[in-house]
Amino acid sequence: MSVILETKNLRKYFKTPHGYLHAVEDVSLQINRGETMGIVGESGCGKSTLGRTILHLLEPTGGEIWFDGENITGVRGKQLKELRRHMQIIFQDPFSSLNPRMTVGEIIGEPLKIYRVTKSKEEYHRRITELMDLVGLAQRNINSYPHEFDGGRRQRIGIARALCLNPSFIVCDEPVSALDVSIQAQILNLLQELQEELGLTLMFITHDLSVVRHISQHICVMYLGQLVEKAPAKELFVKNYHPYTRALLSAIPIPSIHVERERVPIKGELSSPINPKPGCRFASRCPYAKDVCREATPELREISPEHFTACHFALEL
Amino acid sequence: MEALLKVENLVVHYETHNAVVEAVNDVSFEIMPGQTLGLVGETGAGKTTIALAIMSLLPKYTGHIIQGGIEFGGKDLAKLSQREMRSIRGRDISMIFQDPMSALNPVMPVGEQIAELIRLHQRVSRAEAAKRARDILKKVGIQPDRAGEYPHQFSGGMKQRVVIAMALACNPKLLIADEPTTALDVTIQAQVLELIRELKDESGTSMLLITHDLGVVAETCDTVAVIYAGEIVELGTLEDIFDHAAHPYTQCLFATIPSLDKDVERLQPITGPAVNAADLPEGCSFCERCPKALELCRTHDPHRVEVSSGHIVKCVLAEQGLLD
Amino acid sequence: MSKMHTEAMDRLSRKKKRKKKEAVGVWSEVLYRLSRNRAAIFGLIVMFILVLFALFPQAFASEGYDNQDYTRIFVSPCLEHPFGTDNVGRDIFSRVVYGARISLAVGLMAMLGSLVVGGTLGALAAVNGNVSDNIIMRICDVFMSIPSTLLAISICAALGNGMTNLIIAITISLIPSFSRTVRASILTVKDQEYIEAARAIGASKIRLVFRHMIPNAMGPIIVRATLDVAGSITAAAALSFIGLGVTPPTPEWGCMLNQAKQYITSFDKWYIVAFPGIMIMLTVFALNLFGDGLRDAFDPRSKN
Repeated sequence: MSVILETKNLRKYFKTPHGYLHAVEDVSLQINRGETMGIVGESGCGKSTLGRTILHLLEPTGGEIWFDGENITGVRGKQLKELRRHMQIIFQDPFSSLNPRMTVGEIIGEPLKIYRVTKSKEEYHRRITELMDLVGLAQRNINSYPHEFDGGRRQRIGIARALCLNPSFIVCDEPVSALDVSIQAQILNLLQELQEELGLTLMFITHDLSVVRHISQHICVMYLGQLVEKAPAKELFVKNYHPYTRALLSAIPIPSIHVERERVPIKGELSSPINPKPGCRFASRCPYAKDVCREATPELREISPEHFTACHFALEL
Repeated sequence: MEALLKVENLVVHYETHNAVVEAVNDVSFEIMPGQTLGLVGETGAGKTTIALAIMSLLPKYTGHIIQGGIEFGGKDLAKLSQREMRSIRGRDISMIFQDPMSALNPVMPVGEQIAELIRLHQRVSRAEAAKRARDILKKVGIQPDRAGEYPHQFSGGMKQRVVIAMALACNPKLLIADEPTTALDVTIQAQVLELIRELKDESGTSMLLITHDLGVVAETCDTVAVIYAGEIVELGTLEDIFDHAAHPYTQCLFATIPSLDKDVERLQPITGPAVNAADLPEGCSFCERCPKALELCRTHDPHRVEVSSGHIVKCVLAEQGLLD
Repeated sequence: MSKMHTEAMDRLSRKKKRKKKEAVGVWSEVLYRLSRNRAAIFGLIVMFILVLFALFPQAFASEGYDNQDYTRIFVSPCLEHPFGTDNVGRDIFSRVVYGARISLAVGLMAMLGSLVVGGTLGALAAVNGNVSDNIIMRICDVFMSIPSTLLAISICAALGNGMTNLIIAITISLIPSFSRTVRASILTVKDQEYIEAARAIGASKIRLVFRHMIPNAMGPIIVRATLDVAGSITAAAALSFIGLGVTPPTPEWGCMLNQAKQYITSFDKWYIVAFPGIMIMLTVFALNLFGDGLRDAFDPRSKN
């Protein structure tokens, strides 16, 4: 299996009046071609920033991004425009991510105009209807405006736009979080079908653990900008080493009345990673934290094949 | 035992300039003292409208209660004046909203907000109210010293705790919680749900919990009402709904959620778009999307059928005894 | 109570019968809301009449605007001269009709000028941010610290009389506030996700601004432009009244007031002062009503 996307110690800091906010800190990950990598974490953990930095919608502060065997860190101008044919994004909010003054056809077809890929009007029109078919939108809607649709169908429009130029890699930034469960399943199935049909690689960012388990092959758990655990999807739910992962998993409400679970209690709430001190960022909430956790930042290390975690006491807990 | 809240045949419509939205259609349920009823459904199913109707907080010119009674402690809330309702809101019934910020005054310290609420409904001195406010804050897990701080100084989860403190300040008999944890992260959600549960058990308050998350329902509720297109399609105990779901919509709802321990190749989505409350079909509202729909379902709006004690299903299949 | 119910049900059945509207775009929603606003429609009708005056004055005026006739000075309003005649025997109604052309031209040109210049500056400031934003906005602040009438007066005085100079003076005095409006409305759409989505598909900066930002920021800009036409008309009248701007015998309403000012105290010649004044008031009033209506139509929430 070949690696399509790799980040090496990727960092993204934001300047705030109180200092630098370390939104993404030393994140290194590889995504295999044709697979889905799930990125999970709570709000403010930097998962969206990570996705946007990879796509060069934000400029990285440090580290490298490799795509298809090339270092693409900091590309600009023509090269960046060319790169965007291959890397696309699907947004969380199907309401604000579509220009309300453009029709469905115009939204889906905009990339064709920007890259001048279609030679004639007929070809342009044909490609749009083809894409609408692909994502399950009726062709008669081509001249409708986004506000006439419900969330699920708006999300389909966003997906069609992302697929327009045949990208190989798509960042899905919480694509189903704003949708109802019945619609959520439709969109998840659509994404899986498209992935198989078109050989797409997906980076699936979400806070919903059951969704990420269903759709991904590998999962990264992030906490305050850092990768704390990385493992094959199914394994993570059975065997996990980082106390944060455990707390997160035990906090999900399960829709069944026969599951008795032990809650891993975690105190307090997320702090913000502005000018963070060295040491594990989870230490202040961790029930097992010791002195060393507050002094040294734990490295991501391989506990078992393909299973990495960043905790000093991973094996002892 | 006498029910605390009894909603009977409630119908609520919204009128806009070019459409009538049939938000709630003939809904009936009751809540016993100390019990928690979960109202589950998707966006636009009418969950929040039911809560607003109970609180008499429907939008003034567009929202109308067309028929039905809301009986609470021997009074029909639908017939009370706004003035009478004001004395009930906050004292006998209080409400927690999804967005804690909308319930808090941003320019007033939280302690003062709680104290004001207490003084509004009870004849106590300023000092006594302030003291009680601090006690309540302590109860919801906030240090009483923070009573002088403003809402923006609290994080999202802490704000929701303040809102809960406000809701419980006057020991209400009924608490309406509208998606109280939807805006929160899972770890914080777990803390807040735990808190709500503890406080409820302690004070014996009844609760109407509105949510779209079946997991939250499983952890918090005693009885469940599943609502679709403004109708309760299935009503029963936690066991009835989770182990013996009878209505096709309820069954679909469970099948559509990705599981945390079972692997499936594809999820089973409910096909088709959500129903438009401004243009409801003639027969059963769910029949367009229902995998088990019969020809009859298109034209016949089913009645409520009690399939076992307290387990009510509104489906043609139940009428004809065809449920499996 | 039951009466209320039947009423509600009645209303309901009536509404249900009404066919649902055809699927529509955002603009037609705005037009629909505008069409239900009576005050705005009144403003629109008045504006329409004034535009007719401006385009085809010959069709309405009984004679030219400078036909002096000393045999009929100070004729009170009558059938032949509905607004009377002035001190040199010109028909006031004809002059008022011709005056519409000048007032509207000044108003429109000044608005367009400030729209183009101020709009570009505001858009530049909003889109580029940081340094250019700071420079442009501080320059605007400097201009805004001078009262706009005073600014227009000094520019007019420096450039000399004439309609072109009048327009230039008013345009310059409008630019700072206009660029602020444009900047603010672009800033509100700049952070929307669809802008980011357009960036992700490789849209150029020009495309981002003209295809995605400006169409969505149009609402407040259109409202502002409408209200600015009214402002320019008052400003033009004021400048002409104090002898700057348009010169006699051009029938600008402010200029007519200037010439009539010696008769303000003689009540029997009230019509010389009254009609040009009423025209200014009516025009500005109509434009403001229409502008307010537009604002409500673009943002229905602001009305509550």
